Amino acid sequence: MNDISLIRSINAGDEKAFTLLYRKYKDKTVNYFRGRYMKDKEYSVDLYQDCCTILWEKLSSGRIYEKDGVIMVIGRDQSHQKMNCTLGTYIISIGHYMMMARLRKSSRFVSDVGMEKVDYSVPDASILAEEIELKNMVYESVGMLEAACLDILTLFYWVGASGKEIAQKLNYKNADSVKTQKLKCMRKLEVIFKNKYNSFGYGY
Amino acid sequence: MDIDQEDRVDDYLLDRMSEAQRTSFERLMDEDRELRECVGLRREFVAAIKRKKMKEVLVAEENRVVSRHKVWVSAYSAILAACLVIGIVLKVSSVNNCISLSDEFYSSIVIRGNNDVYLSLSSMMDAGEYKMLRKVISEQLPLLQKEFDAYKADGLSEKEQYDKDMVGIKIDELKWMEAISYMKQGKVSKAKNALKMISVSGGVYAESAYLILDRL
Repeated sequence: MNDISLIRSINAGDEKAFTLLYRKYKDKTVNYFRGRYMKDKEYSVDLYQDCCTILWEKLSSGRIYEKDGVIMVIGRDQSHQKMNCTLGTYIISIGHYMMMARLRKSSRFVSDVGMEKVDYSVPDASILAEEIELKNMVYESVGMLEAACLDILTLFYWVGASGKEIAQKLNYKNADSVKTQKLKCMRKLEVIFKNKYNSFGYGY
Repeated sequence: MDIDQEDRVDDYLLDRMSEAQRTSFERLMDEDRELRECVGLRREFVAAIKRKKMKEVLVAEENRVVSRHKVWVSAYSAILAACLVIGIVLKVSSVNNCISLSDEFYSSIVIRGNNDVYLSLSSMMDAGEYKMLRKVISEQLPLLQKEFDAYKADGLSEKEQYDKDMVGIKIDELKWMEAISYMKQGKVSKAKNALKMISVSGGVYAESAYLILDRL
């Protein structure tokens, strides 16, 4: 399956098509990460998976789409641009900024040695770095939520379950209790995120 | 943001609004910066929650591929090991069979001629000096072949024909001894090659060679 067909299927909500895309670029990208960032296979696969989740988010939300046989990207500035590279190259560029974000998190200082920018012909490269930094922080904040909160939010946003269904599944009194609990969880998430965000000197 | 506003934000992000509700909400966002930022942040939260779930899907996919790979590697290893064991068993059985046949057919060797070289071949065979035996054979065979070729093809006297036949038999005997020495050492492949040559030569040991090949 080529990139265009894969994008069409993923845009239409086909999760299996995304698994195909994941497999299609995995070996090449993981090997690239291993060579470029001198990381072991486990780390490189984890990095590749994180990159894929960002790509999936863009595909499933329609921010990367296909039009007349051309792959288009909607940037954060809402401009629609043609993607002049393959999805594989796009994943590598996501990996580059993801790696920068990981290093920044671990050392708060990133030397550009070995991390020089590469022209990947990625249309939204200029804002991709900033976007990935933000997405990483949100993602980490979600990971810091307690399991009960994560269960409610996942059922609500990923599964699309109603309050009543969630109440039955997670043994809450009723849909209103779920709604209140969900609200509390969102508040907690906001607090975690804002603390994290401010600690990086961004100031929210 | 109150609980109703929360619901509206979710409805907007999960695409549960009618076109009119959506337009109205977007107009509200244009006017209210705080609401706009709140929706933007909520969008990121929802995306991250979904990404977290997608990561689990990918990890599961990875584990599935790895475990499937392990199953295949195990299956291949098992097949390979089984082949190896069968191969070893067959090889051992073939070698044993070869040695046993050599004992059975060794008695049929009669070294003709009474010079020292030919007499020593028999004792080399008894002493198990097969390498040395083959070395001597390889030195003697060209000499015998030369002697054999020196006789005319036709018009030989009775005595000359007898002598020529005797040389031919000696050649057959040396080749036979060489084949038996390979068999005694359990060198099945080399023994087979030597026996094949003998079986098609039409010499005195051709039939015996054919019989051994049939049983090897």
